[in-house]
Amino acid sequence: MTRDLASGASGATVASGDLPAGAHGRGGVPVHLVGVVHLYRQLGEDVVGLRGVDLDVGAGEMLALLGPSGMGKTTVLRLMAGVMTASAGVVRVGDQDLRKLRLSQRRRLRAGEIGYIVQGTSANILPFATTVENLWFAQHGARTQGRVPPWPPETLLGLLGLEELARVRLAAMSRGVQQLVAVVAGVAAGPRLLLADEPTSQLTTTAGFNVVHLLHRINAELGTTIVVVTHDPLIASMFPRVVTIRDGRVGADAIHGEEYAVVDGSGSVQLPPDVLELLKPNTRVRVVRTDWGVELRHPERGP
Amino acid sequence: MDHEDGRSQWAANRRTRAALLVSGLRWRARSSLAMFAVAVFSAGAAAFGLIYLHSADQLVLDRTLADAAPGVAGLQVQPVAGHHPLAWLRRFETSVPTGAPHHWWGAPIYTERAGFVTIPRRGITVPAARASPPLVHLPQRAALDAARHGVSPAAPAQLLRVPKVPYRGTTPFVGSLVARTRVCAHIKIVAGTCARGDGVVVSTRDAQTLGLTLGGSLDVVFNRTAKAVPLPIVGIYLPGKPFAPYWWEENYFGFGPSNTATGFTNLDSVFTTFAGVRAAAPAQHIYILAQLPYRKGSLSVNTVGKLVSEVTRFATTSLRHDSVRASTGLFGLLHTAGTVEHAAATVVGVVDLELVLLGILILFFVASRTSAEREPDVRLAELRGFAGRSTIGVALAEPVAIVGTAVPVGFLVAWLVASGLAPAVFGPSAPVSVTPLAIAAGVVAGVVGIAAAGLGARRSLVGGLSAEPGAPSMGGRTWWSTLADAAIVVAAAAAFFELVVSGDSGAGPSGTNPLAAFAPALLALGLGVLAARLVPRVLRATHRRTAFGRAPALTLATRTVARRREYRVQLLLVSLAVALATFGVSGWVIAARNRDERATLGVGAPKVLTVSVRPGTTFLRAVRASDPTGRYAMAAVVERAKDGTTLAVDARRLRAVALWPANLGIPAATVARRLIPRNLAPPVRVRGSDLSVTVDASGFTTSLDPAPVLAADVFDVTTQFPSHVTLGSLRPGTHRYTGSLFADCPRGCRLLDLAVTWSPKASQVTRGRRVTLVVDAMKEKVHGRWAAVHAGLRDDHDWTTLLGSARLFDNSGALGASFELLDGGTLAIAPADVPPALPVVATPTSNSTASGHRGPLVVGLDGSTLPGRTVGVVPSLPGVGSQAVLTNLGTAEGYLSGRLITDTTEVWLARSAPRSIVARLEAHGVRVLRTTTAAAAVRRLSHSGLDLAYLLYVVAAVAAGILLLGATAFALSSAARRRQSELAALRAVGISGRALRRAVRVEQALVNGTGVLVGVLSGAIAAVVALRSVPEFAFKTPGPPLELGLPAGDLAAAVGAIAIGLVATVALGSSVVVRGAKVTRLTGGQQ
Repeated sequence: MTRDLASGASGATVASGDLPAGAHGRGGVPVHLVGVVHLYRQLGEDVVGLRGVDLDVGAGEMLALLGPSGMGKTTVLRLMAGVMTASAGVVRVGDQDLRKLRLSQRRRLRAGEIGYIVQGTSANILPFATTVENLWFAQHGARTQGRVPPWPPETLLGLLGLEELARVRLAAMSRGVQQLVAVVAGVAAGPRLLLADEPTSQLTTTAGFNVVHLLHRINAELGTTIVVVTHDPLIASMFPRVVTIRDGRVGADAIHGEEYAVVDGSGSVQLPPDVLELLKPNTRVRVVRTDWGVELRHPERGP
Repeated sequence: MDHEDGRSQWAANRRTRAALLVSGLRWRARSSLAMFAVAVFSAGAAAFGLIYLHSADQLVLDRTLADAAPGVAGLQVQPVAGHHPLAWLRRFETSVPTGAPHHWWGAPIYTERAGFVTIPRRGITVPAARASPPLVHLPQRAALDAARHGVSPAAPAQLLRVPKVPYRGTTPFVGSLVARTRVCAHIKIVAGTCARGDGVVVSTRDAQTLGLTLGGSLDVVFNRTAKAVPLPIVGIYLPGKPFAPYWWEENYFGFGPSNTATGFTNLDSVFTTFAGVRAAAPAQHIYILAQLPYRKGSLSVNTVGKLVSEVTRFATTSLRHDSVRASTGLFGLLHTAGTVEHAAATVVGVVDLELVLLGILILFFVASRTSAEREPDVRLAELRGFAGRSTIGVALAEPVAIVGTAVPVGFLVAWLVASGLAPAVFGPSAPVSVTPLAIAAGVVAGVVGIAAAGLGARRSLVGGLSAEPGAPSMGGRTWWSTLADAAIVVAAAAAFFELVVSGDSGAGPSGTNPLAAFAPALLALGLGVLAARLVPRVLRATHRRTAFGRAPALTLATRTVARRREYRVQLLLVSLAVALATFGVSGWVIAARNRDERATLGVGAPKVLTVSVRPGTTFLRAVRASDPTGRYAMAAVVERAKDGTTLAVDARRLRAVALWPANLGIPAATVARRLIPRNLAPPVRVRGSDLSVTVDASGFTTSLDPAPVLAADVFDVTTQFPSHVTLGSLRPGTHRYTGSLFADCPRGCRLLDLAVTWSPKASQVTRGRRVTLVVDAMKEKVHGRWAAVHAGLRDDHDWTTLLGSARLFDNSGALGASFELLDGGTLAIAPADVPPALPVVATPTSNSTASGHRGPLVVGLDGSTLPGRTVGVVPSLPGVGSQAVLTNLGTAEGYLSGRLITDTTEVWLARSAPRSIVARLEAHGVRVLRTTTAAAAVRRLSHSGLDLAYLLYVVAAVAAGILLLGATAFALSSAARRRQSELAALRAVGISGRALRRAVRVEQALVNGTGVLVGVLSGAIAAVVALRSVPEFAFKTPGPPLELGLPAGDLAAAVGAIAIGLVATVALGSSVVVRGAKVTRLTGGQQ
């Protein structure tokens, strides 16, 4: 913490630690999405949200879902959170197939196993309450489901270096600091999967970086699997793995800056936008197997 | 984890939860306060009505008991005949403090009395007596009428005369030797001392009559076989007020001739000590009595049941163990008070329930409006995986806490308001207490309020995180909301139908329809639901017309109102509040109007003077002389009899003077016209010392024995003395008959009739023959000179016969009469100066007896029974009620053949009567004894229990208006943030602030205007159909039909005030909303 968190316009900075992953937490949980299709009912008609998403997230992994608005990032996150159920496909968190769970069971998962930070700071906090009270409230879901929160709010704040925020009412904080509290509230019940929808939107760059640093620290301290949705490539670049969602499908999967196209379960590959400039839709391509892989050749331009 | 274990963690959780609740309430302070205020109002209204009612009930109870005579309200205890009284008395004296419900009673008054007989030692003459043996007087005219119509005369009136009764020395006097607690404080000792030892005090009248003196003795006999007992006289007293409360309405001063057949003369009581009574009179002759006066203010409505049970138990026990009978009229008084209280409870219940319903609807409205503020908390709870019950707890914790806190505060506020109002409404010492019933009502209102708040807050529970983008919002039209609306409409229609069919309760509380309590709310809700469903459709239909219009405000407003379902609740709210205000104002004004009308009708005129008339004064003439204009004074005479009452007034002045409500059915002018008969012959007046009549008789012989007698009946209208003038034995042929006018008729006597009387023996001789009489001339002798009497003998229409078989005819300028002799009797011919039957305006009750003249039998001014002819029927008559007839005084006087015997002689005065009228009446021989005013009657009735109950209607109307304005302000304020964002967006596309302000105002005008219209309509309909079911009077007293027409002027004023308030609120609110709608809002974040 570099300065007063409650009043700082630019928000707090979170010191990045070098602790081993999962030193204090319950560790992460893997997530698997296989052939996930989702339809929205809008104005009496079905609208395709996801067209068959295949995605594997390892336990304790940090992942950013990148993509423009309306491509289905939030839908993927909501399906992972169990807030919605997929129209088709498999959404598995750990050993739980969310499609097979009832609403109450999915709610119970959110009380302990899954932390979900929705878009917009105010939707994740009680502005009239202090940080500790917010964390207590965040843990209360676990209590109502008969679980015991893994740590008291003060302990968690101390773990993440935010103990100075404990008794401050959120309404008195800057938005950036509020978002930090929102993130901490997301892991207050000790989840093994943390889902954050645009956690840096409407924040200054510095505040956004602080949020990302906090997520990193959570990942490091607690070993929590973290999936973040963002439309900001800069923010996304701060995550070790970035999955791009385009048109309801996984468009690309970049690991440590290296971007890969992804072959889905049906064998489809979504080409990067620049490739699409060369291969217009409905263009016939020749698939050529080579020693190092497969080439798509334009039949009229190549050998 | 260890930290979650243990009691301390549990307590910490509780503290955190409480802190979060308080923080949330403070965070949403405005809406919390609004909800709190409304909840306080709802609980307070429920409690206030019953607190108010309790105070009103107490007031009614206190007044009923305070106005009652001691003998009625008190407890009287006396031994059963045959039991030894003195032994019981000793026991009672010691048992009263502990055994009887003594805290309701004052100090007992004991009485021991023994009747005695005394015979004076010298002959005396009894002076003028107050009540003499009745003399039965049956006027001739009435007797003739009764014979003619084949009916028996009604019970003859008693003529009270004041004879001198010579005491012949053989008739004893009767009296009582009385010992009574603290008696000397209630009589005035004029000589000697108060009774002590075995000495007695006698009244001045007793002493004067019996020749008793101080130091002497009164010899009395208690038993016929016993010897006379001398009672030493130690004092002489003047009788006190015999009707003072101390005497318990028993007359201890009944000096004068006895009413009993014995003819004994009563003495005033002879007072002595208890020891004196016991020493003088044999124990078995002592009548013993204990009277416990009711202690004023000792009984409360809460202890009535206790008193009744304790007195009943006391009476039962006393009778069983001591052979003592306890009696009281208190139960009847309590029943009377209970009837008033019941009616008042109905009235209060109606308006109180309406207020609570309104409060709960507003609570629902506020809760639904503020649920949006709590929705993020609920969503967050869902997000954090709260169990369903806990999520509901998050949604409802604040409303429940607010309403729960508001209930006791509501009690406090209700108590404070009632305490503040009580001195002005009930009087300075009126008790105000929060009764268990009031607490129960407040708690029930609170529980219903919590349910309403929960229902309003359901918005935050529906939908939730799982709601998908584009899915219908939770506020969407669901089948159950349609079902609920349909249920409301059906219930309203059913209630309306029920009230229309069976809602009339008349003036009493017996037919009170409980639906009346719900009528305004049900109707307002039913019509409001229909309007709320209809208005959006109508507005949608106008979309095409307004789409390209030049009025963007109208375009925006119609679309907003058509689209936003939140306006439905607002419309319902406005409808209900305005309906309640309309109903309240109508109820209060209608009740006040009927009450005033009933009170003034009971008096008869703005001012009524009860008068006595100096002997020799003609009352009607005196009043007319006092007011020659005929505009403000009217003579009225009330003749009361067992079967009914006759009110005779100077009918020509009825319209100008009497309070004659329009709803009596017949206008006063019409009544006056119908009461005054036309085409009557002028009365035949005779005066002087002698009267002579020339009669040509034929059809019988001179051999009749006894001979038929010709006589005349005359009536001195000034002295009201009738005279029977014997003119001589009738002989065949033309003869002049002369008789002496004993009354001397200085101012003229009215000739009542000429009569020929045949004995049955004489008529047997001439039976079946037709006798003819021709009256040729009639003369009077004045100052020794004979002069012709203007008797109208030339016109047989100026005369009438009272015998059915007789026939009158014109005999060449003389009056002829022929008739057939039967079994003896009287042929009477009389001037046709009165109609065959007295024209009367009757009431339905009085019109039930048949007189043979299409009218009832009525009691005449001299106590006779007269045939009446009904010229109109009205529900009730001014001053005399519903079992009475109204007639013209001048006409009724024409039937007088005996002394005027009236219960009451009155002069009715109009409002315009000058103060000098009293002096002028005095100058004409009319002395004013008592004055009654309609204003005083109205004031008296205005402080009855029911009036106090109806006062609550005004309170309800005002409260409804204030609540409505508050709710409208809250609606604008609570929607401000959202509306400002919307309006900012509209501003961003170029719509001016003025147009937006106008759009908001048009929106509110559409919603509130529709609500006001629906409210006025439903309130007015409810008033028309439901007020019939709400008692206007505690008792079903006769009177004109209740005037239940809507008070248009008062309603217009009330609705106008509400409308002005609404316009001001909307104008202010819309300005605030639009002023905050800046485009910069659009660039801001969520906070």
